Amino acid sequence: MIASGVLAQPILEIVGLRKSYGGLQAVAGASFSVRRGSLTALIGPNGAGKTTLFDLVTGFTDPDQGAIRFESRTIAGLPPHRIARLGLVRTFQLTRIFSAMTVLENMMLAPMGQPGESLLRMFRAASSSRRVEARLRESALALLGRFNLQDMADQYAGSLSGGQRKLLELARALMVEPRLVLLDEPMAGVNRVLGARLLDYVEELRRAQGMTFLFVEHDMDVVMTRADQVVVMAEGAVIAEGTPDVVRADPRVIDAYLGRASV
Amino acid sequence: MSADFWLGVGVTAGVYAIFVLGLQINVGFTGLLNLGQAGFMGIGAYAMGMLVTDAGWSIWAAMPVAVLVAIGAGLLVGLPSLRLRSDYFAIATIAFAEIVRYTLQNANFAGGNQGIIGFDQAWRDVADGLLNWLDRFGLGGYTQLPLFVAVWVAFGLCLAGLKLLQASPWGRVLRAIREDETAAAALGKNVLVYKLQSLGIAAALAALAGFFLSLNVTYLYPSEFDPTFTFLGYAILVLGGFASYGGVAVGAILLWAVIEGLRFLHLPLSDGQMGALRFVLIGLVLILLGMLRPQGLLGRKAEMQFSQ
Repeated sequence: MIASGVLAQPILEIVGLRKSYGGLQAVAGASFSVRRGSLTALIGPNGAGKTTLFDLVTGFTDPDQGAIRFESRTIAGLPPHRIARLGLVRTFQLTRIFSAMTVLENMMLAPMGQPGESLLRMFRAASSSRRVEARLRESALALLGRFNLQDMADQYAGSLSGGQRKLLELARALMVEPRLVLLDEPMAGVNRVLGARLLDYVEELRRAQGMTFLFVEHDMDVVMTRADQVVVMAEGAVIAEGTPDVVRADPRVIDAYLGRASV
Repeated sequence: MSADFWLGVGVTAGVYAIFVLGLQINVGFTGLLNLGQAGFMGIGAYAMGMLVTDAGWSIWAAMPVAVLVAIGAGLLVGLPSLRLRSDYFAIATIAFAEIVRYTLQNANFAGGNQGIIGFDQAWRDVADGLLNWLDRFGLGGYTQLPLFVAVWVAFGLCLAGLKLLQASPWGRVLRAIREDETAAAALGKNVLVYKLQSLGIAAALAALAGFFLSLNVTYLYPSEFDPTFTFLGYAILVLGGFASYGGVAVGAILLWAVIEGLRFLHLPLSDGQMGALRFVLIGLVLILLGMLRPQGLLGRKAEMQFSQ
C-alpha cells in the first residue's frame, strides 16, 4: 500500500505559480500536476505562458510566487544545473545544440557522472573516466541510431537540418537518463514519419523505464492520440486538466481556442 | 650581434605566446572575452617581485606562490563579473586591469613609478652558469640564450598541458559553454564553475608570462602591464587562429618577427614615425588576414563558422 501511495504521488506539482515581466502577467497563478509515468501534453494558444512555465520549472527564471515540487522536493529558485541534476531535463522551443561540436560530442557531453568533467578529479579518476567515455560512446551511438542520426555522428552539429537538430536535442536530453523530460514543441520542423517514430520511442521509454514526459505541442491530432493527460493554459492560468476526451469536451477549452467572439 | 637580437625577439615572442595561451582558453575554448589579461600578469609579476625584494623569499619559492595569487585574483574578478552578460564581462575585466595598473603606479608598497628592481639575482646566477657551460660550445656570447630556452620550454610544457586538458571531458564542457551556456546549464553543467576555472588558468598563464617579462626587462614598473599588452595578445590570437593552442606560437613569432624585422626597413622617416608605421602595417596584415583567412593561420574554419 505504501509503494502504491508513492507511485500515486505526482512527479511534478505546480501550485499557484506567478511570474510577471513588467506589467505583463506571463504566468498568473497556474496550478497543475504531472502524473508519474505519464505523457502529458501542455497546450494553449500563443502567449498562454507555456514556455515561461517551462523556464520556471527548469530554473531559468525565478517565480514571483508559488511552489514547484519535483519528486516532492521544492525546486523553485534552484539554479538550472541543480534542477537538471535531480533528473529533470528540458529541450528548447528554439533548438539549442552545440553547433561547432560533433553530433557525437553533443551526445557524450550530456550525461552526469563523468569524473573526467571535473578539473579536480580528472587525474585521480583517469581510468574510470576512460571507462565511462567508452560506455557513453556506445550508448550515444545506439541512441543516435534510434533517431536515424548514426551516419552524422562525426559531423558538426551545425551542419544538421532543422528537423535533425530537433531530434539531436531530444536524443541528447535522453542521454541524461532523466526522470522527467520537458519538451518544448519537439515535433516542430520534424517530418511526420520521423515524428511518429520519435513518439513511438518516447512511448517505449515511458513503458520500459517509467520516464515521464511533459510536452508542448500545437498539433491537436498528436495531442489527442498520443497524450494520456492534457493540461490547457490560457492567459497564464490553467483552465482545464484531464484526459484528452475530458479536455476536448470542456467548454472553457473551446472558448479559449475559438475565442470569445464565437460563443 | 644580430643573432642575440633575434634571440631577444624570440624571448618577447615567447612571453607573449604564454600570455596568449591564457587568452586562447578563455576566448577560443570557453567564449569568455577576457580583456584583463595584462592585469593578471601585473599581479603575478609584482607578487613575485615583492615576495623576493620585500619579504626576502627565494625567487623559486615566490613564483609558485605568485601564480596562486594571480589565480586568486582571477577568481575574485570572475565571481561577480562572470554573472554578467559576456560583453559586460569584457568591460569589467578591462576595468580591473586598469585598476591594477593605476594601483601599482600610485601605491608605495609597489614602488610607484620607480617600480621594483633586484628580484632577479638568483635567475642571473643560473643564466650565467648556463652561459659558462654554453661557452664550451662557443655559444657563451649569446646572452639571451638562457632566457630564450627557458621561456620556450615553459611554453611547450603549458601547451602540452592545455592540449591534454582540452582533449578531456572537462575540455568538452568548456567548448559546450562557448557554444551555448544555456543548453550546458540545462544539461546539469555548473557553467560558473567552469568559467572560473578557465579564467583561473588564464590568470596563472598570465603570471608565468609576467615572470619571464620581468626577468627579461630586469625590473618591474606599472606601464609594462598596460592594456596594449592585452590588445597585442589579441592580434596574436587572431593571427594564429581561433581555438588553436599551436597557432598561438605561430602568431606570436610572426607578429614579433614582423614588428622587429621592420626595424631593418630604411625609410626617410624619424624613429617615432617608423615606430608608428610598424603598427600601421601590423593593422593592415590583420585586415588582410580577416579577408583572406578569417579563421587565422592554424584555426579551424568549420569550427569558427559554426560557432557564430
